[in-house]
Amino acid sequence: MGAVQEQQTIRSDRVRSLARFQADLKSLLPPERVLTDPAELGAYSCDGLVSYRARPATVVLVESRDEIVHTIRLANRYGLAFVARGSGTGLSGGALPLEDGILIVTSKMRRILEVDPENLCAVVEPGVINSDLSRAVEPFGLYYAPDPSSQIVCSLGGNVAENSGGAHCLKYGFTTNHVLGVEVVLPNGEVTLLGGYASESEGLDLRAALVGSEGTLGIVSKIILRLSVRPEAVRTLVADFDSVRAAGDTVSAIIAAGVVPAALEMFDTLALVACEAATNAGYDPTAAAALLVEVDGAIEEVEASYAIVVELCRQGGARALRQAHDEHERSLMWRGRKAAFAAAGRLANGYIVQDGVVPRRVLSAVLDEVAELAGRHGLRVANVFHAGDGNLHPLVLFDPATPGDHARAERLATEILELCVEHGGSITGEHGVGVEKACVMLSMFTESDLAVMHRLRGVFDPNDLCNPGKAYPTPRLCGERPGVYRPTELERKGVIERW
Amino acid sequence: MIEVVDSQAIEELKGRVFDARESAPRGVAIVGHGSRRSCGRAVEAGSTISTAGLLGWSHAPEDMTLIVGAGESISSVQERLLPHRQRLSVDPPLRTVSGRPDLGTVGGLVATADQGSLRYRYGGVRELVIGARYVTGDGVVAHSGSQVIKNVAGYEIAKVLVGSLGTLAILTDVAFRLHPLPSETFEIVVDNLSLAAACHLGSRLARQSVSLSALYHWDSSMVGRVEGEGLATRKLAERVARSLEVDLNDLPDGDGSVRVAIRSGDELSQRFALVCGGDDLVLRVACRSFEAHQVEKLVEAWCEPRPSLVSFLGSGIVDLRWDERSLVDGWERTSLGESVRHLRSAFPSQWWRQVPTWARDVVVGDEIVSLDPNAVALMRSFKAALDPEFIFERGRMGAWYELKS
Repeated sequence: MGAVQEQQTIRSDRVRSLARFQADLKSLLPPERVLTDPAELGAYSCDGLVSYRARPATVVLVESRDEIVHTIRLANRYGLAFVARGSGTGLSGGALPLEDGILIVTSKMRRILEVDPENLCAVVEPGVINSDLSRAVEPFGLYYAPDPSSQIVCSLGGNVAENSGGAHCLKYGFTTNHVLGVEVVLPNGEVTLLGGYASESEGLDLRAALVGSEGTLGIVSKIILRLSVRPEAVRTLVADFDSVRAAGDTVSAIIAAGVVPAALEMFDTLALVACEAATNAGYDPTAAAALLVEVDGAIEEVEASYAIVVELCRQGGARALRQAHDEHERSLMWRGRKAAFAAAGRLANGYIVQDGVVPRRVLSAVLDEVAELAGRHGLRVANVFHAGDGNLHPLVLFDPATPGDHARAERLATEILELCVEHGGSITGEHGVGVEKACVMLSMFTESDLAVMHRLRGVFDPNDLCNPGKAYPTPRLCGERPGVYRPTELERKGVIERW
Repeated sequence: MIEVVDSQAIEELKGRVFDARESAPRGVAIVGHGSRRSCGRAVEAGSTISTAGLLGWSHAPEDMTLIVGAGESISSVQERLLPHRQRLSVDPPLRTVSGRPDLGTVGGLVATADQGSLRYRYGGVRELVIGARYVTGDGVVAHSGSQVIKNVAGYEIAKVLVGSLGTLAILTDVAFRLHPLPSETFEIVVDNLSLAAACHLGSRLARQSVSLSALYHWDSSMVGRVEGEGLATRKLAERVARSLEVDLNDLPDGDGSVRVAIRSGDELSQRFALVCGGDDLVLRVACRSFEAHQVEKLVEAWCEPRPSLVSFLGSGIVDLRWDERSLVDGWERTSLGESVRHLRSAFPSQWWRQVPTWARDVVVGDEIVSLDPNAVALMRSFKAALDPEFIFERGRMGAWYELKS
């Protein structure tokens, strides 16, 4: 049999398997929740990384763990790969469907199954929206701490898959620090519980591997989460500086003084210009850099820490300090920060958002190097990022109408990431690897590192059916290049922001 | 990740692993200072690999991160961080090696997840580990994680190694997140308090915004620790004490002997670490954050001889402790084993989790009832994936763990 003929045979076998899968699934689930109409499928062709698209052949809108089990078992029977998706807000293509594959959508699993305020925990289904949980436990003075920027639309199942952070993770940690247990439907359709209601459990802590595994080790069907106590006091300020270096050094000084702020964000001039133009939040666009600092906790601690922060900002050369006197002023400051990515559209018609991490101590130096790289490429870069944990989000600006500009911007974005790794940082602090950064994994990890990770993946998914092609370099992915960032519909409407 | 242990030491270690594979039928024990050898079940080992020579140090004070060789001692780590007013936020039980007090090595701490009372604020050891380098059972040297606090690239295998009792790989370098070393410490002590009352008060305290560093109940006393800088810390401690006094009045079974006191320093917590590190047989149970009293009820119903209980409130960890010297008779040990088997089956399966124990085979037996078969299968498969010949710490996790699925 020739190669072409063989491929045709494989393809027709696959088409037959898919048809049988769809028919079988429609006998198990209400047919209206098994989507096969191309017009409906198009809506699921990408997640928050809209530059990558693939149309699935089947979208399954599951409403229970058992429906996930049925779907996965059927997929196994026909040897079909599948991808899980929550709200689809991920920024690295982790929930990008497989072309003509199966997409299992958990966004209808939105029940909060239990709230236990005495023991500071809650049990939720994976489709529960991040901020809905905080709202549900607010009457008890509690909240769910991880606060990714998309928290009003992103699902907790997606947060588990991506190990989501947020502006306040400097003090409160990431999703992995708040997940006590996960019930997971494994890639073979079996169900297990990793972890539980307590902080430790018997045997290996495989919950640690599952959180942040980008949906490659199974599909989460229930999550036991730790709840946090709402701080009784919050103080927020914005400090303007005449140089990026002075602002960066002040970040180091605050941390070195033993203060762990709830949030510590930084803007450069370009970012300030864009944010202020978009929101009128009171940021000074003539400053070279600004810090947004927030401390929270018990009143006694907050007052002491806040005094230290103010003093260090002054010592660091802050030319102006604006303190939020009430919740309105505070939310205005945050509105300016949260609008930053969408506001970059005011600076240029095209921009690429990068997500890299550097050790805090080299923050100023790296920002200088980013500026130098940008100059070499003849491009501008706006910086607005989580300075407290060294998580950079350079916005590489370009003009799509200028020939070669886009390609230069892509090169610059990649070089910035390489710079992060050279300085001992990471290729991603919160957006994940997905399809976008699979090729850059080798700049951070050795072949041996990846080989051991692959062994872990093989333990969970020996048949490579669960979100294949994600999180690892493959020839197919590495032949592709990251695309231009295009805001999602939700971002364009101002519903969510990309930080 | 920066590698702090030199390449020659790594090559030698790989050589030892290959040698151990050659004599695989006998297995190999991985030992640092040997202070935590009694954690888990008895190990079948024909040879020993010492990790005490895996030394190295890279501290980034501005980043509050530390990469350290697995053989470095915890005491020395804390001493070297002291001038920078930083610490690794662990206070493991103080154990004894050859008659000397010893906090053990970094590798031992990570392998046994041996956190103390600071788990209340900083979580377990897993929350502090941000990266690691390790050698697998087939001699592969690999990294996981990073030296930066924020990183989501790759599977967090470094965290899976935490508490794995050395059964998966030999740790060589570990990257930690550090915290500021507080200048002021106060302990708020409530004496003559039942565990049930402590759980009730502790839960109420936790729902206030008071940021305790530690909260535990032991020997009829509940101790809360407040740490921080300057006058604010004293004010906070006083507020905690006032709040407890108010809450005590609401206790249904409160009596006049209950007293709240504030003490400067952490003398009680140091004594606590000493007690926790003693030679007792310990079975560790994990329940919901403030339900240790439910464990106590089951213990009273099922356990003879009766253990003393040490409860880490807020994390749900309860240590059942038996003085080994009092268990002199064979029948008593058998009785204890029976009690624990009853206890295990009495625990609601999703609420109670038995975690690494310091009780050895005398108490725990071989069966495992708190994990479902699919979780067991995954753990066995991962063990086989990283240590294909089952040479590392054979038997330590239990016979259930070392069967190829």
